[in-house]
Amino acid sequence: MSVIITFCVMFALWIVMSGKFDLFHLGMGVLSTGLVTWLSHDLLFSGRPRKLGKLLAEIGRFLRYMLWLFWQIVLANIHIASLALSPRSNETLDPRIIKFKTVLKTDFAQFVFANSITLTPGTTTIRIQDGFFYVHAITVQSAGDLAGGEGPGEMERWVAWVFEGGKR
Amino acid sequence: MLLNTVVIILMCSGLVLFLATTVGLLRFPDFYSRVHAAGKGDTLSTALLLAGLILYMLRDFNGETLLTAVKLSLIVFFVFIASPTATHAIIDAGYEARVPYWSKTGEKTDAEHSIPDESVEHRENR
Amino acid sequence: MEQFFITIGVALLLLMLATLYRVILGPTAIDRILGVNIIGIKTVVLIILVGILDGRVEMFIDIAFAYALLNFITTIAASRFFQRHSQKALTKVEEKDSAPSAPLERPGTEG
Repeated sequence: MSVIITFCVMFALWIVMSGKFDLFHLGMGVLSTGLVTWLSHDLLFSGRPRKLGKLLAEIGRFLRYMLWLFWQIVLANIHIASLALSPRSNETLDPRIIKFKTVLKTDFAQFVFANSITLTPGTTTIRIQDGFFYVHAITVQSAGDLAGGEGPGEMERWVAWVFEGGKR
Repeated sequence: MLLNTVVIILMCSGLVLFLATTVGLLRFPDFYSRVHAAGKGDTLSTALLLAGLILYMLRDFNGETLLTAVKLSLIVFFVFIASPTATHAIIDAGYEARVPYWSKTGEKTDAEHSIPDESVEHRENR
Repeated sequence: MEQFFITIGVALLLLMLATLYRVILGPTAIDRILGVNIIGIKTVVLIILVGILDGRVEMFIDIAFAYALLNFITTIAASRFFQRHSQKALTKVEEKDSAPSAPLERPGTEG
C-alpha cells in the first residue's frame, strides 16, 4: 500500500518538475521513480494506517487541521509583528523555557505538533526528549496557552484528534 | 485591474511582515527571541510574496503558466515544512551550546537555570 | 506593474542588507546562521521576481527551487556543525567545574 502511494506522489512530482509529456521523459520518470520508491517506500508512511479508507479519513482530518493552523499562523505573525514594531517591546517581553509531558505517542504526531508549536503565537519548540517537550515562550500568556491548565492544551487535542483518534 | 489590486495587497503585506521580521531580528534582546521573530515572520511573508507572484502569473491562463504556478506552490509548501524545521534545528543547537539567556530581571543567565527544578531532577535520575 | 515589482525587489534587497547587520555583528555564531537563513529564503523570492521582470519565469523557477533546497540543507548542516563543535568545548569546561549538565546525548543523532 505504502509503495503505491509513494510511487504516485513521486511520479506526480516528476511530471510537475519536468513538464514534458513525451514517451522518453515519462519512461525516465518511471525508472527513477521506481528506484526512489524502492529505496524509501517505508520512509514516508512509517507507522501510518495500512488501510486506504483509514488513511483517507486521516488526510481529511489533517486538511481541517491545516485550515485551523493557517488561522493560527496569521495570528502568530500579527503577534510577533506587533511585538517587534511596538516602541516599548522590551517591557512586554518575558521569555521563559517551559517543559511539559505530551499525550501523543507516535513520532509523526509529535513531529507535526512540534512544527505547529513553532508556527503558532509566541512559542518555539526547542527539543523533544522522552515524551517531554521543551518549549521557549516569549510572553507569559503564550506559555499559559500551551501548558497552563490541567491536561493537554487546545492544539495538542487537535493533533491527537487527527492522528490518534482522541477527542477534540 | 482587480487582479492587480489583489497582487499589490498580498505583496505589500508580505513586505510589511518581512520588515517586522528584520526589525525584530535587529532589536530583540537575546538569541531565543530573535529565533521567534525569524521563524514566524519568515514563513508567512515568503508565502504571501509568492502568492502574489502566482496570481500575477496566472493572469494569462494557459498550460505553461499553470505548470509554473504549480511549481511555485510547491516552493510555498516546501517553505512551510522546511522553515519550522530549520528554526527548530537552529534553536536546538543554540540551546545545547548554552547561548546566554535574557530574562525579565535583566540578568543574563545560562539557559539551563531557567527550567523548573523538577526537570533537572528528572535528568539526574536518568 | 513592472514599476511595482522593481520597488518590491529593491525594498527586499534593502531589508536583506539590514539583516546583514546581524550576520556581521551577531554576538554568537548561531545568530549569524539565523541571519543567513533568512537572507537565503528571501533570495528565493528575489530570484523569481527577477525571472518575472525578465519574462523567463519557467527557467528561473528551477534555480529558485534548487536554491530553496540548498538553503535548507545548509542551515541544518551549519547548525549541526555548531552543535557538535560547542559540545567538544563544553566537555572540557565540565571537567573543571560540574555545572548542571545539559542532556548531551540525544537519540538518533549519533553516527
